[in-house]
Amino acid sequence: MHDQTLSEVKAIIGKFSERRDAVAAADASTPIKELGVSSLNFIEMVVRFEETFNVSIPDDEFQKIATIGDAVTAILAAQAGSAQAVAQ
Amino acid sequence: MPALDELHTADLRPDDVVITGRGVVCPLGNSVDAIVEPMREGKSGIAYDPEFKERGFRSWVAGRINGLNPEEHFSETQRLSMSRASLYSSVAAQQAVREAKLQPADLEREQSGVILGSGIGGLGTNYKFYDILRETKSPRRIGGHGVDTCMASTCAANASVLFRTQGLGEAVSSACATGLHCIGYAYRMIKHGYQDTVIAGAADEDGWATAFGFDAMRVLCADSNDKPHKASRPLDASRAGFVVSGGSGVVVLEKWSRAQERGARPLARIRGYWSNTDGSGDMTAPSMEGQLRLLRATLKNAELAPGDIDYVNLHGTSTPTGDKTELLALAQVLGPTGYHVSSAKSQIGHTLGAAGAIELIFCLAMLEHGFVAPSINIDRLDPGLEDLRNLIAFEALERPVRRVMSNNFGFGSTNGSIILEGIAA
Repeated sequence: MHDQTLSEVKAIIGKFSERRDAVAAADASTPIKELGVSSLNFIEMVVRFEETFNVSIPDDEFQKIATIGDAVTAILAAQAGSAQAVAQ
Repeated sequence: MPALDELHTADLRPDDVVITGRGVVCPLGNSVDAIVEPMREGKSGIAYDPEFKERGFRSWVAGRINGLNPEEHFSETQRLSMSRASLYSSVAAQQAVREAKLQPADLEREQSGVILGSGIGGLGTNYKFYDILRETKSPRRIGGHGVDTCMASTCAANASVLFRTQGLGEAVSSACATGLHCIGYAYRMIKHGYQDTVIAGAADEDGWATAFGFDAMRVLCADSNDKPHKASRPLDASRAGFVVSGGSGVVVLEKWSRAQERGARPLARIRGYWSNTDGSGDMTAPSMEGQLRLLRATLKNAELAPGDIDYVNLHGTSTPTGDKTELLALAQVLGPTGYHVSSAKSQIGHTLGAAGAIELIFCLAMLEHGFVAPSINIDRLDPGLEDLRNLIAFEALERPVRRVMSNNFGFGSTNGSIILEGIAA
């Protein structure tokens, strides 16, 4: 897991969570919905991921985000996809 | 004035509907305590609004909400679900719940509900989202709150979520009668046994987003851009349209037996309420016939005679036609003497869908503190109303007030009227 990305993702989740103490203690395996992030704020949070990391997370990848680690994976995959597109 | 017979808590019947809490956000202040003295002193909450001028409005004056710090009231995540309208109603609802001393166990039950409406919803927020959409051509950039912030029931939805009520969670929307209709609907829901506790009222946003349609209709006052405090002048001969405004009023209504059981202090009893439509086939023109039917039905519902009313808050928007029709209709039903009238809009402008609820808070303050708030800015009374001069409170009147009536009318020829009775401490 990319530590820098993980740290930034947790910071963003914290902004949309009603349980910020739990976010601080969470690791990559923690389900985001256990952190007091409502369904609407979850969508808001993914938009913030996209803006912060300057990526676009495809809908099918968005649907797979359950844990913090899933979010990091989706962001890294989107970044890799963007880089590949630029290289081509 | 004759000595008034007082209503005491011992006189209340178990199925009476009483008001036990109040909250307000309006251009005169953001709490009930904050608005009482400005009301009494005849202050104006109307100011110059540069955004109106920048956008090419005819009218550059408005009632704005000042000094409200959302961070003091709600968490960052709670605020994501709120437009300005639902922020205002949520703040006012918090105040009302606090004054009523309602605990979570009083609210988290099927007999407790929310009826909070809005005339226009979260329109300003909606425009921000539209700007994002236009710029990005990507709806997803709006995020997760493109609906709950803007929908017509945003005020009710936010309060239901905040207080975790399990009963009604609904919004009545009826233009400028919204607030009164929400409170009246809540009254009926309690009276008929569907709920015993309801948080009721309304909110509308201040600012250009809710105002420009009215400016286009040329119904806003545009002759006082250099003297905003004089712009809203219901009943004045030179009145030239209304001053757009915003805010929220919220009350807690309870069945008296329930309020008594938990030791709550009743502030007033709702004595009667009625709503109707003109049936005139006109969207906006006031109808004396419709108002006469409304006022008579309200008195009948309250089982009162015309001489029983001490004070009437007029809808009194400061439009040439509306004010005159309203006062003439009122005098036909209540008579030409024996009570006083004023318009809260002279001080705060027209708070649109919130008007009925905010103005009810004004009425409650008058019942509690024993005064009639003035209708300010009447330098020269409309000559057509000269015979009714004695009814009008040109200045604050220090006098006990036992029963008040408050009236509101909205686009779509919709009308509402309510009668409150104060309760002696």
